[in-house]
Amino acid sequence: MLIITLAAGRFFVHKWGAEHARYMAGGVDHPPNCISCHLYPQRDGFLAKMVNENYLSPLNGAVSPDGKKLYVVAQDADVVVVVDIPNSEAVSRIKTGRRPHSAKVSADGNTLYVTNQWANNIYVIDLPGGTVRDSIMTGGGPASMDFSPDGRFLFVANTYTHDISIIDLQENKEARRLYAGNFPTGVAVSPQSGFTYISSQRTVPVKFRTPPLTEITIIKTSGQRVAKRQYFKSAHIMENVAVTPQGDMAITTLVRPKNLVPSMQIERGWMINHGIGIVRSDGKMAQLLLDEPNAFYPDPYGIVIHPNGKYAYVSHSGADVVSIIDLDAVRALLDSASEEELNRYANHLGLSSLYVVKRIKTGSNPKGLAISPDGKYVFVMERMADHVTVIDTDKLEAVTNIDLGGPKKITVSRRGGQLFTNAGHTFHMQYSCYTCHPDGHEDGLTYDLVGTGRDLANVQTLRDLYGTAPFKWKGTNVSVYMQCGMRFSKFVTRTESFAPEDLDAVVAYIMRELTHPPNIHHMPGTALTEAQKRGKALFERIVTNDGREIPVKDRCTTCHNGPSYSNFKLANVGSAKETDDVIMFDAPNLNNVYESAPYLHDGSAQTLEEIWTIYGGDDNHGYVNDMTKDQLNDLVEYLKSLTAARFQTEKDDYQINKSEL
Amino acid sequence: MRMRSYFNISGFLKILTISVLLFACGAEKKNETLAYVFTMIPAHDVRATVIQNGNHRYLPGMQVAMIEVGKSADAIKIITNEFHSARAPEASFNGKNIIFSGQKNQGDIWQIWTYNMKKKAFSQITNSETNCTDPTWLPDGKIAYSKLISEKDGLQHHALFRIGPDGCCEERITYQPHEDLNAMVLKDGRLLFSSIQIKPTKGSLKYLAMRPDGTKAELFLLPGSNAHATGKAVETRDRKVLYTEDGKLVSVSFNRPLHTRKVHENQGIYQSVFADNGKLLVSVTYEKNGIFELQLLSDVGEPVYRLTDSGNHIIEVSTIAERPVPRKLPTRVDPKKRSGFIVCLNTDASDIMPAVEGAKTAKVQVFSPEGLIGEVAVEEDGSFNLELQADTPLMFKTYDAEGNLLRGPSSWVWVRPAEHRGCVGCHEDREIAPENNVPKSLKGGPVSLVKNDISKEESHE
Repeated sequence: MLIITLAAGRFFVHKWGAEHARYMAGGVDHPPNCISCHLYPQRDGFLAKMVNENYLSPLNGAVSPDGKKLYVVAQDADVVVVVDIPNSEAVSRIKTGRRPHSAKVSADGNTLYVTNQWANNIYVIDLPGGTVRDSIMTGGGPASMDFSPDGRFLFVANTYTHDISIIDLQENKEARRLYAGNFPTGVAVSPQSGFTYISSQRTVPVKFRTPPLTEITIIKTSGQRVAKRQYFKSAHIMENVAVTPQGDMAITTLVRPKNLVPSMQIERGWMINHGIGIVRSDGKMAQLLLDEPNAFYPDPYGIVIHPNGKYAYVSHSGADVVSIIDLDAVRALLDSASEEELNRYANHLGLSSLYVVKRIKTGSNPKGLAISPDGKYVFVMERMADHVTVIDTDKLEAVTNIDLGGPKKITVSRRGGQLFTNAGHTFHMQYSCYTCHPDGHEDGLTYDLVGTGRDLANVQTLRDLYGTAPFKWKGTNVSVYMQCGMRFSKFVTRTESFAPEDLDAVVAYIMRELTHPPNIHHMPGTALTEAQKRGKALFERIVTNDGREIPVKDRCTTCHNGPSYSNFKLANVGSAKETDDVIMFDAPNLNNVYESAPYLHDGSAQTLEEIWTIYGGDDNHGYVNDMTKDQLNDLVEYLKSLTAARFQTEKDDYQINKSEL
Repeated sequence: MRMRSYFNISGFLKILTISVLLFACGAEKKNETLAYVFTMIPAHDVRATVIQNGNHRYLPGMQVAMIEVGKSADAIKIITNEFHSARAPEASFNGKNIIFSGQKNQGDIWQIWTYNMKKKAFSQITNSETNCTDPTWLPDGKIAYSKLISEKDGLQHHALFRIGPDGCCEERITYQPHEDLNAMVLKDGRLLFSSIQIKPTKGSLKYLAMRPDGTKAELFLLPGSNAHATGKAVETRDRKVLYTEDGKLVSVSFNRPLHTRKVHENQGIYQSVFADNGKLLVSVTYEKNGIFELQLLSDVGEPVYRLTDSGNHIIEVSTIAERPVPRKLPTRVDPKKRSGFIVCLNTDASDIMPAVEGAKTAKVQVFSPEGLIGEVAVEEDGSFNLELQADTPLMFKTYDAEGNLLRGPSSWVWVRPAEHRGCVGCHEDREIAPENNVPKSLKGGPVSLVKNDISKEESHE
């Protein structure tokens, strides 16, 4: 009897489990494996720790002037791994601040500078000992950096505050702050041209449904003033920039999205292309693709140029490839091209055969590149492999692969990270998940994924998604499994959908690993500003300025409450346009909302203010029209301060200043 | 005591012995016998000489045969003894079944058959009233093949179809007055097939790539002028596509097929080529009117295995082995719908000079084989957005505001039910990706040129 009862119980549990898995996967069969959904995506707890590992995730690196040491920034481990180049061996680690991004070694080889992106500072580290000597405050989210030709100043791109810190290295403090483009990340100083180039990830605000314009900021290095702001049209995610030794070209990696074109197909580069942007010394600009008609090389990230100026090396983090570009061929092509031809070249998938001389296979997710001072080796940081591939620039081939000493076990979540950052699950590898969700965030664009000009979708962040179902602006997806499942392959990747175990892995990665950085408007351990406090009162108010009670449905906190500031329900806030087939949209999460412009489901509001000043006239989106301009400013200040609760409870070293070292 | 019995020495040795044997068998299996399947044609049949120009389709007395390499040289095994004629074999991706086109009795219609290697059993897949040839396995287990069809105007030609392995649910997937033959699946999941326009004028040989649901058909590669295809084009492990063109072996780069055509000057006359795990399997002869033989070529092109038969040509060679399954592409075709959509981003983006110099396109006319379907005004940015009858051959002509013909007629295209497809321009450079703009024609929705206007709710997903 007991056996029969157990068997029946097992049968019904299994049947229920299968139905539950099918429902959560969006109506397609998915193996009812409980731990896939209920353990692997977990961030905290004993079991989550048991099944996960702490990986290094090398992002960028720098070579010592004598060419003997490579300093690898391990983003997820908050360390720099020191590699002995002659022996191809990781020999030691140096502790950094939170979420290090890039490293630079001084010309005398005695000092290592490391940007700590989540701590808004730079560590000054004595070499060879590895002692942190000093910490220099920067803007928010310092990323790449480069020395002035005399070594006195360090130019630093501050990704989160959209500016550039110029650090005086004699004083070890910020000497000047200049505005950059949107989400600046790459920096290259050209001693020959006298200019410093800063590339940006995101478009500057543009008119709704017009092509993105992404800024490359050009600074007169000696004067430390912005000389020019130039814009690459229909391009973005310009992660890094490098300059030729001749000073005739600054070259940035870039992505060319087709977000305005109806996504009717993927064939023929219809969705997203990848390449380089060039600013010549005379200011002329050009874009060239690194793709081919039936083969794409997504997510170009790192770029270095050989000291002889002959070849540039570009890592494609979504294709596990480094492309080698013949710069003389590029010069010849551009010299002979008319303006019209240059426009055509920007979309030409066949041209790369003229200037890409070789593609070199790497390990998983190649990111930053570093080149030895003599130009003999290029080092490729493989973020999802915890390895470094070494390319011999004479042979133009990979000669060594260095193990940085990360965990050997590939966990489900790590496997998900490898899948997320790789375009292998998209037709002809045209793009990866990362392409539209760089750094697990969003690319700031609106796409026509249905392909009819209707139901436009503003890309949403993937950070801190755990516990925030449903998903999509329409709230139609009950889980990320559904979001990334069968329908996703029909409309987005346009090839075979993820196998169930791969889908589990991708979801585990998204849920577990992708998190917001600390809020730069409300750093951990800090109190709200007076303006933010006033804004908080407005956010939570229940009466208007003249004392009338605000109906519950029109209060901010009705829809935006809880740890993510969302009730996860649909609401009509009057944002629907003629092109929408529905009028109700999912209340978005508001943590770190300041870094998610543009706003609303279709990206029509360029700023938080525009949600109300342009699209809130009828008070459908909360009751705001009685507010004064100052009150709206305060409300926006408070919204910008919204942050995950963990940042306010953790006593962590996000910012360590000089006195604390 | 019972526990002890599990660990006694003799038991352990037995397990060890069995394990070693199993391991050894496994190791043997890794180096399993290579097996090839091919078509044999009696060499004395004078009509067999036409295999060199591609017109070898319906000879009597053809047989599907196989050989297991490593066994004696005379071990060619005829599989289709009970057939009057059989040809075009191809093993499934798991190496367990063979499809072929067969004529059971003299005068029968050629049908698609499968042969189960283990059960040694045949199954008739198609039950067609016209000849079905050139079968190929699709990644989802279905079968694509060419079928002779008659159009309303009496035109007879081959179109591509697909069908389930159980013979269920036959579906036509190409809709153009072309000879569509020699289908083969690329690793990306698309079908690559040879195609020659036969109406309104006879065109030259092209290879088109298309999703297995019949959507997104586009030019993939262009053989030399007046070339004949004698077999399927195949993709190799190093991302090349190889095919035979008038007896020559030709390759293109998969990544850039339209500009990398290379005619290999190997000696010999080639009838077919098949990619075999880094090596090439070819059917070749070294004399005009000579007997074709099977050769396995090393990666430097040297034969490492040859199979000849003095009494028969050996053609249409392929491997019987487990092969990587290409991508299973999702489909958005909805058989309940009757229309599809085409958006052209800019009709003036073209490599063909307009008949009137400097003129700008003002309208476009759409034709089916029966004549004009309709005409629509082109937007200021050169774009148009049309809803069109699905599964119908379509041609376009563009005109300026004065009614002068600028370009056209275009090549034939079609849309499947609910398909949305886009064009960068009209006969534009096929390596150009679209410019990132919202086409003006998108704003008002598609202009319907469908007879008996389809309801609005059918128009949008």
